[in-house]
Amino acid sequence: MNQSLLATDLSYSYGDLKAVRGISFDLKPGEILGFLGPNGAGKSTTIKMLTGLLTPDTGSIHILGNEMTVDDPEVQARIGVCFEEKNLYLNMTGRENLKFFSSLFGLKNYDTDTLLRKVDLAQRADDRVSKYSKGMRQRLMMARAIINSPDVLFLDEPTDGLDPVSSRTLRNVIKQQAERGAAVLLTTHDMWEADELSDRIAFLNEGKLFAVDTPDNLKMKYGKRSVKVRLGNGSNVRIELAAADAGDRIKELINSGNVMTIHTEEATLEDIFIEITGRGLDV
Amino acid sequence: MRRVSTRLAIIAAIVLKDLREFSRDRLWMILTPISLIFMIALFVILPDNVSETITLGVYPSNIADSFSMLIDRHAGEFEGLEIIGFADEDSLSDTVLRGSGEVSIGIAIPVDFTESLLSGSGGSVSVYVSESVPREMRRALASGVREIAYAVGASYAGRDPLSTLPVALPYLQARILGENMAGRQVPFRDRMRPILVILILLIEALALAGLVSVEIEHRTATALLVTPARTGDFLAAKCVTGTILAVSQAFLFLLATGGFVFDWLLVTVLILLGAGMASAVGMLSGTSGRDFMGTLFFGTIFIIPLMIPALSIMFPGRPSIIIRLLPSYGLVEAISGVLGEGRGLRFAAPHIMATILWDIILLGSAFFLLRRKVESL
Repeated sequence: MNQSLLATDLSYSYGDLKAVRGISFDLKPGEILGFLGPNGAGKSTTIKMLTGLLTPDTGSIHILGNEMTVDDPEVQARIGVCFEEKNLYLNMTGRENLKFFSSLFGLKNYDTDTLLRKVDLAQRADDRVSKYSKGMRQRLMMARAIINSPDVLFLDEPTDGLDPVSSRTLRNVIKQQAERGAAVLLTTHDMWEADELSDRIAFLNEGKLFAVDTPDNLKMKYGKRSVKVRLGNGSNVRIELAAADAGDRIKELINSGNVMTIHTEEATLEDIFIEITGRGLDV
Repeated sequence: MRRVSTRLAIIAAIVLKDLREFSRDRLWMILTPISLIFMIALFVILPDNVSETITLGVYPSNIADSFSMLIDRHAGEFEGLEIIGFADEDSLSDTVLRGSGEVSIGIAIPVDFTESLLSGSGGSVSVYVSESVPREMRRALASGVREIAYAVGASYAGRDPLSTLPVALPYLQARILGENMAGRQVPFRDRMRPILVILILLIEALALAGLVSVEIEHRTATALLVTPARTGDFLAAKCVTGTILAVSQAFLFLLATGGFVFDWLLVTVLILLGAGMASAVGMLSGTSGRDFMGTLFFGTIFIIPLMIPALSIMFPGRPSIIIRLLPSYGLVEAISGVLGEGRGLRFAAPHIMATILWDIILLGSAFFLLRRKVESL
């Protein structure tokens, strides 16, 4: 089996609103696929279909070789989900939340301490979640999502609105899960995060998938390769690397002794997203 | 494939989680014991017996002696009537006026009563009645006074009063249709016990409604459904949680108020059926409301109609068809009969069947609506 997840021609509508329009993609073990798109692009709806919370209008989903259906405990025992909403039991402690979910997966005497340390919550394990900050709640959500060492991990905007420390902790956990062999589907509208974490990136806009490729290939394909040379008099010179005389022009500037700095200028994922879809990620 | 928890283990885990959450909810942890203590206290202070004797105060006291002799002679006809003589009319009227229940009816016959009768003037007899005495009783007393006057007249004429009638009196036979409750009237607090039980069950329905609405409002139900827990497990767990909450409170109340001196197995079955109904109400309320206030509003909307049959048993007579069609009617009748009058399975069986049917309908509706709600999150 070389595919952890295979989605074929998935569509879903909320009444007249078509949230997802015939998207297809796959996900391999140990791979992180970043779904990049603005709010309302259909990312969360896609995750709901993939995790069995919604039944697609069309198409099929295969997870670990099994066709995914609503209420399929066999498959759901092997997936982990981190939702965008902080849907934790607020009157219970962090440890109690994890103990409860471990019992749903049939994990007896589960060692919550190791997991809580992994997300930097060991010190506050026995505090009620209602007293947690937003970052702590999100880290607990991540701990809950990986409690069963899932083969496929779905992460819906896992670092949205978090402080840099919490974001870094979660990104490290995501990388560890992929290194362990878990296939990770990550939705985000943070192009920097998608660039850093994803092995492949899929652009999703208005329910349609526009491109699925590695970040480097996307940049090569859609970005412009250029360098920006800052001169001693404060002016900037931009040289397109694809131009035939690019090498001579750079050499000439260096020889003039007037160059202060030289920077490569590759396109960002947001630039590429705008070029492909015609809209920005923050919309 | 990995090992997956059994359905039973998953349901048990959700129930334990619900009970833990309930125990952490300050509102319900205060409200539940307070309401239980209040119900028990209310039961204890309510009257625990029914006086079936009517005490008739009579002035002058020598006439009271004649009355007593008459009563003794016709013991069967005057069962439950007691005569007390008074030395003066004022003390008789004061006693009736106090309304303490000691003497609620009084008859003051003037000392020249006999002379007035025989002279043809008729005289005047005062009848004192407490404000709580029904109008029908006053009319009966007036008839009684006329009878006395007639008897006195016949007696002075040296004749047997009955022999002066131009007709023969018919033989009267009193037949009580239904069960004769004479001598074993249900005390007020025992009448109240079914109402208090139903109230306790429905208060716990609100507690369950709170738990359900929080699962929906915080979308924690969604987090459950991406684990091996199915929607059916979630619904079953809520039903079990509601039943545990309701049954435990009702059992505590019945233990404290001596409810299990009756057929304990029958009482247990009735409480379980009531708890099932309470769970359904809890789930329906929790599904309908968007937040705490919404849940409370819908909870009240559901609970009021279910309380009506419980209130109706406080009043004599057969309830209207509308009340008899309400879901809690059978349950109330059965609880009332078993706990209030010590009746058995034969009496309760049709009510139990009706309650089972309503439980199925209500729980089915609650499951359907809650499933739709959870799956639409």
